[in-house]
Amino acid sequence: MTSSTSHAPLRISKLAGRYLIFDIDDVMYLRRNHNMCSVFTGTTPQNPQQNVFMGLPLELMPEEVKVLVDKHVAYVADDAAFHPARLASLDAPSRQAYLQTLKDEGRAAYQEFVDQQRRKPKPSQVKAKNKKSEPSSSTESPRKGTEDEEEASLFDSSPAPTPADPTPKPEAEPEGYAVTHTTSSLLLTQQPPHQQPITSPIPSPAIEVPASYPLYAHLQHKGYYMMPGLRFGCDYNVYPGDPLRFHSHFQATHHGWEEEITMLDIVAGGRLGTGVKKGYLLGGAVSETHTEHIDGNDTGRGVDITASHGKGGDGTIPHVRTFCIEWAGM
Amino acid sequence: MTDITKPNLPQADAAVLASDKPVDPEVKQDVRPLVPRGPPMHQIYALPAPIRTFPLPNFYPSNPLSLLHLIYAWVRQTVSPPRHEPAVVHQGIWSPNTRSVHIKDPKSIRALWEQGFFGKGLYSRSEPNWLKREQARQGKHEDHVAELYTTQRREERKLMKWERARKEQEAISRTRLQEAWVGPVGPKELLALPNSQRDLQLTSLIDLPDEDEGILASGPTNLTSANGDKSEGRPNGILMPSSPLPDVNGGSMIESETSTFPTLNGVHTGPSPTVSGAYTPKASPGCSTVATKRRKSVRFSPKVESTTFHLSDPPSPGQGLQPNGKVPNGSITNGNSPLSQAVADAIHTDSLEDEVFGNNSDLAIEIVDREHLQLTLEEAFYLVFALGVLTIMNPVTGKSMTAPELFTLCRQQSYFPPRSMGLQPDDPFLIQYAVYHHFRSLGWVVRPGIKFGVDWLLYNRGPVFSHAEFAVMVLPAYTHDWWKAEGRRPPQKSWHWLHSINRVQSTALKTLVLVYVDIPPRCDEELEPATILKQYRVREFIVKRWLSNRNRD
Amino acid sequence: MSDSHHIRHLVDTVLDNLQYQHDWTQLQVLTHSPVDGSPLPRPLISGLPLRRLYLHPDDQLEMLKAHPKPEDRLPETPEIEWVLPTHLAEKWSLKSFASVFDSMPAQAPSRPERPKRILLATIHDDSTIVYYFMHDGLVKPRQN
Repeated sequence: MTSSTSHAPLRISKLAGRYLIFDIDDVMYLRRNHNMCSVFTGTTPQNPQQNVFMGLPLELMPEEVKVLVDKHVAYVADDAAFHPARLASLDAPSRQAYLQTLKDEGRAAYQEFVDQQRRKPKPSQVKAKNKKSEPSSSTESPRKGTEDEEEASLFDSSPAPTPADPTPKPEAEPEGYAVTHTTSSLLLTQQPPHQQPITSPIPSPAIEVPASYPLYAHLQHKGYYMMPGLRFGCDYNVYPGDPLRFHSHFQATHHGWEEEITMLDIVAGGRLGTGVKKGYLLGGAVSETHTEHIDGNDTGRGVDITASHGKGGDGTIPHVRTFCIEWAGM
Repeated sequence: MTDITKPNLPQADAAVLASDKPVDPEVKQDVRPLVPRGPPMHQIYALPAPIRTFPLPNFYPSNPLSLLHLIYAWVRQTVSPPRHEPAVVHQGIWSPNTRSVHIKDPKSIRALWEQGFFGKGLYSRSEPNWLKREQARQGKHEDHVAELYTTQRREERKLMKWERARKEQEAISRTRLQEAWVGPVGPKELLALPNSQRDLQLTSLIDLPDEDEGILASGPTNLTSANGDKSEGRPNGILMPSSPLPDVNGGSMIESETSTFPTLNGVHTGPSPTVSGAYTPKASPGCSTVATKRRKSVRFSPKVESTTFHLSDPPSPGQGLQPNGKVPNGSITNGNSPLSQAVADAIHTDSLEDEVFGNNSDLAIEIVDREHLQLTLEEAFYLVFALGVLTIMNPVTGKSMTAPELFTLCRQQSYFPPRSMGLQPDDPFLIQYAVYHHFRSLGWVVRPGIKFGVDWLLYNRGPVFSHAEFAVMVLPAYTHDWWKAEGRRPPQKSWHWLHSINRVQSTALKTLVLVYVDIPPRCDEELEPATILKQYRVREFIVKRWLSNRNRD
Repeated sequence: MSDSHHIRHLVDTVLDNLQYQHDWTQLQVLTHSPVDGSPLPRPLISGLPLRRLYLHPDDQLEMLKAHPKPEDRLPETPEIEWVLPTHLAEKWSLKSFASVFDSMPAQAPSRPERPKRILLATIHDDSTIVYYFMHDGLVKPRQN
């Protein structure tokens, strides 16, 4: 796709064997320009049971990663290795800046907490406890004055936080909360000049794709949106457009070119698809021997296939054949 | 509708079929009572197997009279013993062409069907009733058979679907009209929304003069953020025509819609390039090469309704018929006049064609019953080996086959193409028969499950009484050490295979049962069938999808 | 040899079923490709169903426009279909399906761009035959 050149390559973090994207802009870019939606896997730490509406990071299928890397749209960074290495290699000013950012964020978080408390009416019996904590917190903080004022005004105007509060007053954290970053994004933003060289020359780690990759790449190339199909009994749920706007057209299942397919499975697949008004799609890469056979035997047919399967400018799309199955209604 | 009309209805229907008389829709609708006449079902299907048993009555210590009853029955059976069972041995013919057993005697067909639901009519969905159907189609018969109802129902459904498709298209057009002016939703347009379209145009014309060109050339520049595309207003032939902004509304939308609607294959009835240049999902396959850069705007597919399913819905459109010829839930026919009329027409054409075949319906009175009852290898062997109520004639030798002969034959034939040597302990027949015999012995009515993508369906009493409750998938298990030493592995099935099978069953309200058959090591091929079969073990596992939000109780 | 016998039996069974259970006409068995006369990987049956079996969604849209009124009888001229007889106990592969399609002529002359389709007939020993359409390529599913 032409648009890929206009965008800096995306950074895909590889963590524990999973390919993750932490930047919402990247997520939107993939969705718009590369018909990839993938699956949000992030949940809120405070409420881990909430697993219906997930958020960042986005977890990409290996197939998607491979397509993106092959198109030079993205590169894969092994975050577990990257993070310590990057920390160790920071020079003094950037190290200072990094630490400062962490502090600032910690303070901002603390401020947020304080603001929240102020808005809530609290039982007054805890007042004493908070007063106690105050002196210790007022020793080194550069923003001590403001904090003290806020605390004071807080206590004047409204009762103190409850003792049951899971995050009691930060006695040991005079500068605000200690923030542990869940991503390396801070380290990344500080090195934009370094980012460019990383992209193409440094090879991404080898991406292990499932056997169904050729089918994925084929459909992806044709502009379909693919979502993982396990729940629906297939490899991919294939959408003709953004899944928010379209119902899926196919339930795609990959097979090897000469892999034996049980007829009963075809019947079941056909019935499965028809029941939800989708086509059951079988597909897989044409093995080399077959391509030769076609080229040698019947040139006209070979041309036909090339046309119908839309070889794009990108020569890396494997030659795939697909068959759709629908109930005949007899 | 009333009891009085019911008995006459079939005849009325027959008359309608044979003549050109316009049909009263009321009558048409009444034609479908499925209440069978004749003896009630539990009498017809009283025997669960084609043999009879004569158990002694129970003795209840609390009821001394039951002792008398017991003694009476015992004395009676001793003095005049009942006929040796099986009293009737049916005759079947081995058919090498279809690797099955054919039953041609009508009495045997009825007996095997009614007593345990064995076999399937060659041209029928389950119960052999092709002859009846043919006669009914010629108006010679009062009975109505499930297949005719199916045809009729499908015809009605087809019309209904046609109507639904039409409505969907109308909805799409309507949505497009709306989008034509809702499309630009920048802050100013949003402010203008409560007002009329005219206001909207005025706003954009007057307040945003700089953006006018942008709007014309590349569509709304500030689309909904969800789909906004950073494309610079790239001219894309079709969209460029300098339609003045006012045309964005109304008529011209329809035009553009019609012109682009028949999209390429594989393309959803996708958003077409509109005058406002709004969108074509660049992702839409087929189009992507032509016009790669177009805008999208949020549009909701009109098909939301049609892909929402309830548990009670038939498993697939028009496919709601179960092997027993019944619809799981009332079919969606509303019997209003245009539909019913068309159905009548359709059926009438059927009968006309028949008359072309038969020339004269009087001549066609004697339709040769081409239908036989067909038994699978497992059914046939069970009837021969386990019940002893069937003998199977080999058409080549003209002699009946013994059970061991049939056993070997079934094992050979269960391969495709059949093999005459190299039989294995995991012959498809052996594995399947072990399961068939297992469930039959437990009292289930076991019938092939090909339509649901499984090996067998288990009916509690039979297909005429209820739908199959369980769907059985047979899987070989090479658990014996001998197989482990051989390094033999069962065919590898994927997780999505399991999900697909299970989903098919759950849409049909059946429970999937995975049945593992532990296969014994290779043994002497000369052993008796009973000895061989005894070595097979059957394990059952029910698989159900567990959903956290639906399975709370 | 016995192999071809068995396939011949499959063809006969499906042919018989189409004729008597589904009332098809103009039934023919093709053993050689109409494209180049080479033997087909498996005989195909061609025949005319009683009603139109398949209507491409795009065609349906066009017809809806041509017949906007619900009272209009929808035009249902049946089309010749090609049937591939198979047995439930068989194993097929993408390769074998591809070879069947490759030996077939293009779809209707009016719609040469449409992918080819066959009617896949799968026989079970109890004489059940299930029919599914199979398209050579990506064909969006019918929605109704």
